[in-house]
Amino acid sequence: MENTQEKKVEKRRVIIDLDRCIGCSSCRVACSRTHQEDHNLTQAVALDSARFPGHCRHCEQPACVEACPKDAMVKGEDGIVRRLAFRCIGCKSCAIACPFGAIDLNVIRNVVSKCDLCYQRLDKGLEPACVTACVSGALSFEDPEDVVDANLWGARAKAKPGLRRW
Amino acid sequence: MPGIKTRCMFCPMQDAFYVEELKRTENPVFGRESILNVEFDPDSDRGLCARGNFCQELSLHAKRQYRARLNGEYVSLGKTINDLKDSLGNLSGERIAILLDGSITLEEGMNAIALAKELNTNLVSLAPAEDLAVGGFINTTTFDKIKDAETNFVIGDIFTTHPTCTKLFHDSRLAARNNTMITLDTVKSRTGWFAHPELVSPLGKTADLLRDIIGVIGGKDISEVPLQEYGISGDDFGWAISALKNAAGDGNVVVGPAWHFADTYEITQLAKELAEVANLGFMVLPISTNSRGIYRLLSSAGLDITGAYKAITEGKLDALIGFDCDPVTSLGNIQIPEIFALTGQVPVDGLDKATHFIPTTFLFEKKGTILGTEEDLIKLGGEIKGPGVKSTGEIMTIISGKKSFDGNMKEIIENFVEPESSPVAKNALETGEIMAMGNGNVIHHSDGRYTRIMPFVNLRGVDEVFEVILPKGIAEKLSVENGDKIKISNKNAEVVLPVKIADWLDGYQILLPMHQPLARRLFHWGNSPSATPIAVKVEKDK
Repeated sequence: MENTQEKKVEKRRVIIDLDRCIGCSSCRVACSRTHQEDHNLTQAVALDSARFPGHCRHCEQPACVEACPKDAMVKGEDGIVRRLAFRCIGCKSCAIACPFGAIDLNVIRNVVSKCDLCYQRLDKGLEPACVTACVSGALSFEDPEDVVDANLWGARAKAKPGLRRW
Repeated sequence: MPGIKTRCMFCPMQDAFYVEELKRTENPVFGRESILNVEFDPDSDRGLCARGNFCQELSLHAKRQYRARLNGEYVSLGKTINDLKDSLGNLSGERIAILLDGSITLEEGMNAIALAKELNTNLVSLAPAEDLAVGGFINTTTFDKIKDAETNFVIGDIFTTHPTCTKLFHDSRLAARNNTMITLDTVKSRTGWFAHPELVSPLGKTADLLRDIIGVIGGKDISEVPLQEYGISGDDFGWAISALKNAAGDGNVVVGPAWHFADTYEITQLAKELAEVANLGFMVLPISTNSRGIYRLLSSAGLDITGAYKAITEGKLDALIGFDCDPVTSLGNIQIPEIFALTGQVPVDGLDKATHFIPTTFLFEKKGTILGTEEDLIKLGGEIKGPGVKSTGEIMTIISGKKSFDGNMKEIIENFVEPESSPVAKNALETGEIMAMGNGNVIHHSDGRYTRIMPFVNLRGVDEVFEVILPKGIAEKLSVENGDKIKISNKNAEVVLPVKIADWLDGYQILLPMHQPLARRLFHWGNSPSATPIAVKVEKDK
């Protein structure tokens, strides 16, 4: 019998506003706490001066899924790229393949950690832990196209031409 | 939301979150009757910082203390408390001191006063000691006003020390009407990244610069300000002054002085003066959640809050009780008396030295009231009891045999009048040829400048790097090379540490390893991690 209940595609992604991020790591701690101390969220370092979280983009054609030799990375019908811990052998192929450095190269309990958009929280109507924990309003959970259409960042950049990170 | 709504114990932002008790029958965990789940408060838009998120980890800490100790031996809770009660009963009150952590409830503060009266002692004070200098200030602004303000003038690196205030300042700074955030600090900091203008004063000159800002707003000619001495451009200073003037009635001065300035009281007092002169709101952010509330209770009860510290460091005591705080960690020069009782939740430096150790609950596991940063009284949602553990207030009540101090807690808090002078030294900053301060994370820039960012509280231990960073000029004078040891001394302590030479550091300044127990002893109050500048002497270790 054909499944008439299609899984809803999750179009929203975690989006970072660099003009607000203070590099406090509360998102990374909240992520680690929510995922039993896995390091699902990496830290990006720009020009050795600014640090901010490096979230998984849940790509349309994920390089990590193609790189995994054990089919431990899968893209679900909901659009979320997940890591199946019981299949993962900790070879780090996914982490090396990821063009955004969004997968931590350090293995925890012999497997790779990977952002899953806190899908269990989404099912309860909550936002991902990192977004809820963010102290500066830098992280939001929105459809990227809505943010681009709203042209929010351009206005902010114009507001303070003198802003700099050092 | 499931569970009880409570507040974070780490800083006066007092962020709300929920704790849910999961019963052991449903979630078997060995060693505890129950486990906790922490969930964010959906009604709060301030989030929970990295430290706040640690509340759950602390609660379930692998080394969480559930058993009482008497002279190092595990004994029953009742026996330990009764032994302490009997021991204190035989002592003269003037040789007993009590230290209270800033993250206990107001009800527990009242219990502590009752205990002090019963023991006939006046030596009761607040830990952390840094909060003594700011505990007496009354805030005149609210978080909502900060969020909507035309101009916010920030003194200190509050984005690091109190991270959940960040969103408020961003909301104001990024408002469509082009609002301003000005920062004043001795270093370029995490808060300063987002400010314009960012005023950076030389070490020891912050108070002078603040006086000049107050003077210019009050009518003094800008040409009389020695800007060259401060290293601040006329553009930045002028912008700051006009932003402050234009913000009259719609701006705030927010100061987070502890852990950052040696002259904590003076900086805060000047910040308040600036707020009054420029007609702005004023807010001080101390270190601990409820320091200001506990300070008001102790001060109103006429207790000797400075005498307690003097007696502790001068060894004039027969008994010292630290309720939920560790004087061994926070006071480098402590003289441990014969009876040294501690209450607490996780292992601390003083644990092995304590004659009596009594396990207690964290603030977020208690019921009670705290004084909000916006001058309101906040009720904590409920109580979560660990196995065999009592709250600090219950322990105080058993020892004193009295339920609480006779007095209306609400009235004491609300009718509190700001003291006219500081309970601690008015100007604790000493300047010398060489100034030392905590290292932090130094970020270098291509043009030779650097930003020093204070790391967040390191809950897992001390920093891995123990070197003192020394400017090239001082290294040449002392004839030391990388890895050699130098002796650093001041009136507080004398420590020997290895050297790392840097050519980017200002010639008069050395950077000490943060959180390193030896280096901490050099500071006035040993628990400064510390961004506080101190004058030191350096010489090559023979």
